[in-house]
Amino acid sequence: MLEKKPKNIFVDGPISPVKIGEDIAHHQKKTNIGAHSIFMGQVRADAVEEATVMAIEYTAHQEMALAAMHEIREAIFVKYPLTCLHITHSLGVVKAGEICLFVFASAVHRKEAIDACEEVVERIKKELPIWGKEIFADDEYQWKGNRG
Amino acid sequence: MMEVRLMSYGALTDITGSGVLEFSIPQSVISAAELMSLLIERYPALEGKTFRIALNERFVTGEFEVGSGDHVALMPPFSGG
Repeated sequence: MLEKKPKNIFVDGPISPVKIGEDIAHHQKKTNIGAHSIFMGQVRADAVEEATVMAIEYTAHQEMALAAMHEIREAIFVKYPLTCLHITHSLGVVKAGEICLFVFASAVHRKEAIDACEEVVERIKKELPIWGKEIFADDEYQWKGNRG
Repeated sequence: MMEVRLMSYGALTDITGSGVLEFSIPQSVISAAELMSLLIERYPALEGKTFRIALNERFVTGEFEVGSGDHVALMPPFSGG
């Protein structure tokens, strides 16, 4: 199930939990699926010295990010027998407690779904040209760094 | 006037500003080393920073040439998710 054209993964602002619920519901008609593995990244109110992260503002090189995501999708579908794979990433401001990344992998059996979901999340963090700016109160900010 | 279209991302926007910057080059084609020295001349704070360069939306490393009209993107380590 290789796709030719890069799919958009970006939404402005947070990813709605209602939308996530609807996405899951939409798969009820795909009755060959036996396992979904989902990952949701949530903006954490990290404390840095005396300030607390209020939100993260995401920016991306969208064209290159979508091209990189397309390559990852193709590689994942070659490596794992998935039924489907959906990815959503926020751009713009996402407040602490809100969802900024949603990865949804579905397969006939659980192992493929779980392994593919994990690998996609790791590759998104390493390979997609996306940057997070952690915003504190009083317009202070620092640029987010990803852990290895 | 020979120019490249320069964009930077993430923390590097604190140094260069965001959006597309018209960046003059002295001849129609310059080397990677010439690009780096012109960048550091214009934005001294770039010196010592870790970033990758994309030329016309493709990552480049080592030796490459940049021509007038090319798109040059400066990308610090990614931090999505």
